[in-house]
Amino acid sequence: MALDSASKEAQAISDEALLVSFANGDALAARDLTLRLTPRVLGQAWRMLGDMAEAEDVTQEALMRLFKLAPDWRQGEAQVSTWLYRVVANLCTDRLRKRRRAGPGLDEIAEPADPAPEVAQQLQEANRQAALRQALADLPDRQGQAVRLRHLEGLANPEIAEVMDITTEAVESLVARGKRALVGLLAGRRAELGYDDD
Amino acid sequence: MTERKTPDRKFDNTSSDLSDAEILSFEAALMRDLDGLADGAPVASSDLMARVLADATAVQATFGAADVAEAPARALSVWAQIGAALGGWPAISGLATATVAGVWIGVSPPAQLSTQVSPLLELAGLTGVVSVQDDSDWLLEPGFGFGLDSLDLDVTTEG
Repeated sequence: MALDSASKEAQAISDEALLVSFANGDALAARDLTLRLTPRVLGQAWRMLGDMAEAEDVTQEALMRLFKLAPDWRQGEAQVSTWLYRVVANLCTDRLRKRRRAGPGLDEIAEPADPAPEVAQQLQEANRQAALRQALADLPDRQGQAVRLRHLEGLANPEIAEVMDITTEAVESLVARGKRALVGLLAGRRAELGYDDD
Repeated sequence: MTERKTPDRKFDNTSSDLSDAEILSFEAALMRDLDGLADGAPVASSDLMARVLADATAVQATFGAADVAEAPARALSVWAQIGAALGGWPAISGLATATVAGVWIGVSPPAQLSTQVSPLLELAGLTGVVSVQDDSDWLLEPGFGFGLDSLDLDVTTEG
């Protein structure tokens, strides 16, 4: 899709430059930061949490932290996007951890009622997604974070390493262990979720 | 960060019933669905955008307040207060220039000054108010080396 000149101009300004303008009191920068970062942060939070209300809360909190940090932002030391990935990932991990403590585990999730044939496919898809999200939430924190950043956010291993402040090798290890853990968590539900038919 | 160790063991036991080929196939299917979770990103509602923008504006407003707070009113010295009352350094420099010029004119008035001003002074009841001995020697001395001893002031008033 062709971008108009205004969009191109706005995109040409880096997140960091916008943040500095924001810190200097530029009201337009406040608007541009909001328009640019809110969908991005909400997307990450939603993919991690699978719950819109919680994702919105995390989005608001993460961006509030960024806004407050703006005057002290040390230019050139870190990317705004990396910083946000880290903060959102940590906020979501905290919420997932609380869910694990308070909510039902994977084994306690109620079996769905028999669906009507015409909606069976959609329901199965929804069940798979729900099961996957739950399994992701049940992973050990670091494994879950690495797997989400790799598969839900599409980050490369070096980027994940920067976000999680670990080595690339450690990322590879966490992702591999996370995948094995997911397989282990969901293996018992292969038939129920329709994976035997794939 | 402390990681839970037990799940890995449990997972391995759970998946040990599967053959390697089944595990690989299942893992591939899971990863495909996992990547699918990234699709269909939610659209940020206008309400959320408004809340975030309100946060941004509110936080930005505190930057301005902080700047003001960081510049507390400092107590001014007496001289600084006098300078400020006069209008600051530009006004003081003008005043100093005028003062020096006044002193200079007083010390070394132009030759025509006494002849032009004297009639006016006489009209005002003052005679021979100021007579400055015309001593061109010191007037022409380089480096402004004049002294008061070169002046012969004679101030008298009538009545």
